[in-house]
Amino acid sequence: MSTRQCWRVNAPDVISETIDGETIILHLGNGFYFSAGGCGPAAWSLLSCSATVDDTAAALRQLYQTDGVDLEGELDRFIEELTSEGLLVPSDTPRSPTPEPAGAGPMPFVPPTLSKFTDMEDLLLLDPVHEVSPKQGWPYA
Amino acid sequence: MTSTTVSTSPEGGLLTTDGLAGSFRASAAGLSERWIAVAGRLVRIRVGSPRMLRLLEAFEHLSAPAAEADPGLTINVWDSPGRTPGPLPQEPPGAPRGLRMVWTGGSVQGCYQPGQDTLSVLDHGVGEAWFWCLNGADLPYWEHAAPFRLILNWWLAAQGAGLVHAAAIGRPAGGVLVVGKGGSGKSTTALLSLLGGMSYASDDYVIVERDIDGRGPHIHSAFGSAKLDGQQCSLFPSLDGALVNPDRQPEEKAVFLVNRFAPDQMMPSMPLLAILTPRITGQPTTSVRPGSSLAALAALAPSTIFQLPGAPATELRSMSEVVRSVPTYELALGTDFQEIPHHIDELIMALSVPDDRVRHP
Repeated sequence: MSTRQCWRVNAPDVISETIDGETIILHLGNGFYFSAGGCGPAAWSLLSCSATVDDTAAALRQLYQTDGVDLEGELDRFIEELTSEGLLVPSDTPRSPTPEPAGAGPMPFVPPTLSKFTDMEDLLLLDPVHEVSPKQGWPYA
Repeated sequence: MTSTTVSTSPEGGLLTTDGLAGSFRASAAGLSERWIAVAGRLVRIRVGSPRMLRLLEAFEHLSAPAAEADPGLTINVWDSPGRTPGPLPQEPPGAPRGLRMVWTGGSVQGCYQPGQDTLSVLDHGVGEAWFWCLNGADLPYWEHAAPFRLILNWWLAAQGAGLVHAAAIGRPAGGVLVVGKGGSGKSTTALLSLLGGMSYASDDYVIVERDIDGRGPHIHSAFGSAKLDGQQCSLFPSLDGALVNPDRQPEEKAVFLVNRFAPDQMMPSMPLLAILTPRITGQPTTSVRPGSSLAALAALAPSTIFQLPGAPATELRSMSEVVRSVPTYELALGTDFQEIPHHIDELIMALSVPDDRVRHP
């Protein structure tokens, strides 16, 4: 994976919210939802704002104790999960991450995790939300 | 009034708000008009077909006198057996049963459900909505229990409120949400609390308003109904007189009109004091202990958002703000059912707020 690659949230199908140190991510197009834990919420926050992989890794090194940690490998694996689930899509416009406020020092590193929940799938036999116009006609997914 | 294009069919035919209005007028034999107060806001419901009148039953506890001023929302309700109100979207080949086709266009949003032949359309610009079905006699039981859910949710979302998938019970001084997906114990908990003397707002969908005049989040009742499966029904024999679908199919839930069974216990509005996430334990005793905001949001948001499509993208953030603004608890449900309302009532008494937070619509 290119370290200059950047991503964005697959809006409007994907929405997320971070609470109690975990991020809940909903995919409105397929009815799956996810919980990101460990350093996943921080990585998700950075990646979803179109930070490059390089910049995301650099920002995580400021937040976590990463000596001896294969941070790039962990990040690659996490990004692979996020993209294969359609939560992130490639972006052409990299942006520098906003510096995190200085804390008490780097925290112990916890690898990013992504848990997938499929129990709502049946609730969402849903054609994704469309914009319609007289010119475009009734849209198909 | 300017007509707005709702959608265009693959053949090029236009479904417009004018077309919907015309279809409604053409079917409006025996027009019946009712006014209700939903979350303190006046809504006029105009029913054009006798077969659709039963949908009003869930709102009986919210009845309001007709007003001379325009309501915030008018919902036109009708059926037209054998003909549609205009060109409807075509179901994609191989579409799963229960597909919902949702769209937005300008000030209009809509949802067509081919499996049950229903169409919900709201024009935010003029505060008018249309709920059509092919034949009101064929409407599924859940539409009887909670009519016009999508329309009400879209309309309220623009006003800092919205439906959530939760039961709500309490006292006039305040109430709690019980959140979780189907089968988690919401309806049983709500009805046990009702029979225990508490106030009732909902067993399944309830309106939450993030803040009223700086007095914090509030719960508003929308539907005065309850749904139970066969096994649950045997727990509540006293509700039999409020059953509205005695001839239901085995796979269908029983629908009860709580607003007829216990009209004095229906609570149109109350401050939100806490959110409870139930867990069925199989043990005899019930307990309430502090829970995490994360667990509450995870139990509340996905089932709400997936079941009520078309809400704004900010809906998850709004729910998160509500969850953060009140304490959250895990409700470990025991098998001694009489204990359950007692524990909830104790919690509510401990969290109750001064009477000046109570909204009197």
